[in-house]
This record gives sequence, structure tokens and C-alpha cells, in this order.
Amino acid sequence: MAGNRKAQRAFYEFCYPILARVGYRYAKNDEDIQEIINESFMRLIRKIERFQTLTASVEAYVWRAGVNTAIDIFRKSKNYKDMIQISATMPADWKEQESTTNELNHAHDANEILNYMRQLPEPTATILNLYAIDGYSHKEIGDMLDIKETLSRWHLHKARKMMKELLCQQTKSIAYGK
Amino acid sequence: MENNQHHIDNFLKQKMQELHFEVNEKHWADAQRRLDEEDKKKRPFWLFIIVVTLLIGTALTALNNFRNGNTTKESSASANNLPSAVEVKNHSNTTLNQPKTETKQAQQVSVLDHNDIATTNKQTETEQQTILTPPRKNRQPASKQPAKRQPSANLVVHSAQSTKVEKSSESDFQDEPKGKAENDALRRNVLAQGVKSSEEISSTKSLSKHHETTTAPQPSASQKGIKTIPLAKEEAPQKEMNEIFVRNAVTMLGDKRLYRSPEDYQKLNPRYVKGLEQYTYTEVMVPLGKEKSDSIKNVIAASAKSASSSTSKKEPLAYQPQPSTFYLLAGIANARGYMGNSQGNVKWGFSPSLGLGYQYSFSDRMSIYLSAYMSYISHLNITEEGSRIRYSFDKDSSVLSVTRKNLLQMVVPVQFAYKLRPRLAVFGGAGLNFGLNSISIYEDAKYNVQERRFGYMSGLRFLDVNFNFGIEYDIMPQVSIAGFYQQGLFDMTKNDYFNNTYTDRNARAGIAVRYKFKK
Repeated sequence: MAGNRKAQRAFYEFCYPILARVGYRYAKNDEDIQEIINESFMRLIRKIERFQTLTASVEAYVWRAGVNTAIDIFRKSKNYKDMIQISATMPADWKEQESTTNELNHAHDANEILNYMRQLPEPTATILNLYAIDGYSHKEIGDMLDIKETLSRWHLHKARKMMKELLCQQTKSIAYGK
Repeated sequence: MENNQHHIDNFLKQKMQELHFEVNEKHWADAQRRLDEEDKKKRPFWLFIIVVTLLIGTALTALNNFRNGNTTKESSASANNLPSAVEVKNHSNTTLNQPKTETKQAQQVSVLDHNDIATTNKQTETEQQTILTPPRKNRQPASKQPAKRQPSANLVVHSAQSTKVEKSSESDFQDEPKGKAENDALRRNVLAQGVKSSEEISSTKSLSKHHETTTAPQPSASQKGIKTIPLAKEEAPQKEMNEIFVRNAVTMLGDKRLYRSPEDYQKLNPRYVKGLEQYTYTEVMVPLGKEKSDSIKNVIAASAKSASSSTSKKEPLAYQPQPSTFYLLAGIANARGYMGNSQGNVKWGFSPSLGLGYQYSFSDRMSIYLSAYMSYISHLNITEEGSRIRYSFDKDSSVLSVTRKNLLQMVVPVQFAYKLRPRLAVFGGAGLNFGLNSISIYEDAKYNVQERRFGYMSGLRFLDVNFNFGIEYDIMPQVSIAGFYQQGLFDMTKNDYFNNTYTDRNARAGIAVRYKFKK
């Protein structure tokens, strides 16, 4: 594939939807989105021979490459740990409680949901993405971001709460015809 | 609680999977830029080889030209010095070498011819001076003369009665009353003589202890009857120089002094010998026979021929005895990797090497090289993945992988070298490749760990046998450069380990530099 631009383009077209879904979730500006997509793509190109011996599905492999790249870029941001700590005004006696809100309007467009997620603070959105969408456990998230599991849980709780508020607010707006 | 939480999580996950993005051309343009940069990084190794070869070739050419330039200069210098090498014997048997400022003008033979000047001088006081005596039979050609000039018998001055003047200065040539009458008589005789024969050559002579000048008006050159020897056409430059010599000599006579300074003397006699100005001179006819005269021409012709040939012909080099010595070996090669378990194409990669060796010489031409050097092979193409951890969203992920990149080797070749030319040799032999260790890229995709690790030798054999050959050129006595090819005979990857039936043999081609230590 090296030097074959048509083949590279075809591979890019295959990877782009998967990587873009990751990029748009984890990044908030176009530069970072482009960085996540293209850096993931380059990593895949460099390890293109892996596809020959890949036992997993290709889509999952590409997805994972995108997530890893997004986390790398997030960790490269200065003082990301401080950012996570500051943004989490976690009470000392906080315990994860049962959520009572179950009013989700499935009529929401995917792009709307994406926009809501991008309105969340960056550390909170990252942990929501890692846990809720990408399937990492709190322990794994704690290891990846070098934070405590409790803090990860707090961010997730905060993210869910904010998302529900945003979704409910939007639902009410739709109901009142605003 | 879990269900409620999973409800929103699944809702978000479902919505995110509904997202669809078309390729953003702006993003693709950036990807193309990155791909171009990646391609630039992966320049083919042969480009590197070509560049290195060109650089080495240019350096060798420059070095060769530089050395030729030096050789030519030395040869020209020795050729020019050959006829002018002078041995002066005075009463104290002091030997003086002619300075380097002399050139081919030494071939000139000036003539102040007269009949009986020799007879006017007392034979008991006369020193014999011979200029350009016939060459010795065993004289070497100019090109074979060593750089350090050896004295020859071209000019021999036997000054039995001359006394060396300690100070060579202008004051040494001031008029002195002693011997005035004698030198006056001599000068008159010189000027009165005409050309007697073309076979007679006059030369300056050291005659007395003191200089003699006169205040009497001097006749012109024609009046003095000074003539030059008619020369053949091919000796026109010589004729011209003869005229200059005569003209200057007459001028000197007109100034009442034969020689004023070393510069004056050098104008008169290109075969000037430093220190001769410390003697007093007069002119004495030295009759030479036909045989001697012809030999002079032969010397001139031979010197001219050697001078011209020395610029066009290179001095042939002789086979030098090769010392048995240790050497340092360094090289770069393009080494063939292995297919491994990639099922892809085998790649060639950069392979540096560094080691030591011993050279034992059987003769001037035949040597044996015993070397041991460290090197490595790239592109092992062996990747192993583990799948001990699975993700909750997708169960097909393997997070650990070990990709073997380089195999560290110790290569022990035994080679025989034979010199085709004094500086050029061919060599060939066999050797052993010991696989010592491997460098692998260890990756943990989950924690994004990527690092180099040693020790993953599973699937690799320990030993390979190779044969090799090449050509070597001595840049300098202690440094030589070689181009070589080495072919492995065994497959160092275990096919049963990789379920691979392809037999892979390593090979490498490259250049190496040997630095031989002084013994």
C-alpha cells in the first residue's frame, strides 16, 4: 500500500467513519478532530501488516486505534489531571446513587446527542465516552488517565446527570413547541 | 440502578453508532501530507547506498588526484634537478648541493671562447672545472630519482689553491690591489679571444684569492670578440640563453666585476651553487672533445625527455609486503530480513556492523582475515499477539503484541585475500552467524505502552553459516575500503514454529572499512 495513493484513499474511506465517530466525540475543535482521525489512520498504515494476521474484526481494530489516539492526545494536554480534579467538585461523602430519571426521548437525532455530549466539560465527556460508549471499566479508565476510580465514577455520574438535564430540557422545548 | 444507568449509556451508544460521516476532503488533504512525510522517511536503502557510494567515490577520486599531484610535483622536481645536481669540491672537500631554484636552464652551456686563455694561466694554479660532464652509465631516470637529490658529478670544481672567503657580501668583491695585474692580464686575454671551435667551452673558474677590478674602459661585446657556439635549430632556447649569458658576462666585465652578488651569479649561471660566490673567479677555457660535447647533448635530451614523461606517466606501485596486524572493522550493509509469520514480502534493511580482526600475510599478495563483528538483521517480520484481556464492548481485542524487529548477531568470517594490484585485492571465505538476541517492540494496546525489549528468541535459531566475497581497495597504507556480499545458508527462523514452509536465507551486501593498526 505504501506509495499507492488510490489504495490509501480507499483505506481512508473505510476508516474515516469509524475514526470520525471517535474524533467528534472526544474532541471539541476541528484541529483536534482532524488530529485524532489522521493520527489514528497513520498508526494503522504503519502497522498495516497487522491486518493480515488480525483475528478480530477490522472495524473494532480501527475503532480501538482511534480511541487510543484520542486518549493519547487528551493526555498530552497540559495538566489534564488538574483539569479532571478541578472540574470534579466531588463531595467527600459522595456515593453513587440510583438514577431516577428514565425519561429519554429516543426521537433525538444522533447529531443532537453528539452536540450535547460536546457541551460537557472535556474530562467529564472523556470519561463518559470511555465508559458508556467505548466500554472501558472505571479501573481501566483510572489506569489510563492515572486517576482514582472514584473520581472516574464521579465524572461519569456528573456526565449522566448533565446529559439527562440537557435531553430533558430539549424534550420540554420540543413539547412546548419552542 | 444498573439497568437505569445502562439505559442512558446504551441510549448514547446507540445514538453514536447512528452517526455517519463522509470523508472530509480537508482531512484527507492533511492525511496525504502525512503520508508524503511518511514516504520520505522510508527512502529506499539503495538510495542511501548510492549516495554513500558517490561520496566515497568522490573522496577516492579527490584523494587519488591529490596524490597524483604530489607525485607529479616530486617527479618534476627531481627531473629538473637531475642535470643541475652539482657537487663542488674545493680544497677542503666541501660538498654543496645546488639549490632548488635551479631549473632546466641548467642545460645551457655558455661559451666565452678563446684560444689560449688556458695557456695564459699558470697550469699549476689552474683548477679544473667541468660543466655537464657526460652522465654516468648507471644513472637512474629522473622519475626514479629519490626526492632527496643526490650529488652528481656534473660540475666539479677542484680549487686547489683557492681560499674560501668567510664572508659573502658586497664588500668581498671590492677591488683589492693584490693580483690586479694578474687578473688584468687574464681579462685582456679573455676579451681578445675569439671563438676557436664549437667544441670548446669556457667556464667560470676560481683562480685566485682576490678579486680584481680595473678602471680601464672596457670594449663592447663585439670588440671583445665574444661569440657563441652555433647551435642546432632544436636548441634555440639554449642558444638564447647562451646569448643572455654572454651579454650578462660582458655587462659584468663592463662593470669591472665578474660577479656582484648571488643574484647576478644566478642570472649568469642557472646552475648556481650557493657558496660559490665566496670564491674568486676568472674564466678559463676547458677544451672538450667531441665525445664530451655530444654527451652533453645526450644529457640535455635525456633530461628533457624524462621531465616531459614524468608529467604523463604515473610511477608504478610495487607490491608491498603486507604486515600481519590487527584491524578495526566497521561497515554498513543492506541485509535481507525474513518472511517470519507475516506471509508478506521479505524486506531488506539497514545493518551496521562493528568489530575487530587479525590479518595474517602469507606473502606480498596473499593474506587471511580473521574477523569477528557485531551486526543485526532488520525486518524479522515475526509478530505474536496475546488475547488475555477482552473489552466489554468488543470481545475480539488482543492487547499484547511482540513484534521482533532486529536480530543481533555476531559474525565470524574467515576470508582469504589476494592482491590483484598493489592496492586492489579480492577476498572470499566462509563464516558463522551467531544469533545472540533480538530486539522486539512490545505493545500493550490497552495501556498504550510501546517499548523495545530484548530476549524474545523463540522461533529463531542460534546459528547460521555463510559464504562471502568482495573486493577491497587500500585508500591509505592503514585504511582500506571493501564492498562485499554475504549469503547465509540456513534459515534462522523456525518454520515449524510459524507453520511456514518457506525457507528463508539471510543475505547482506554493503561496504566496510578496515583500519589496520600499526605493528
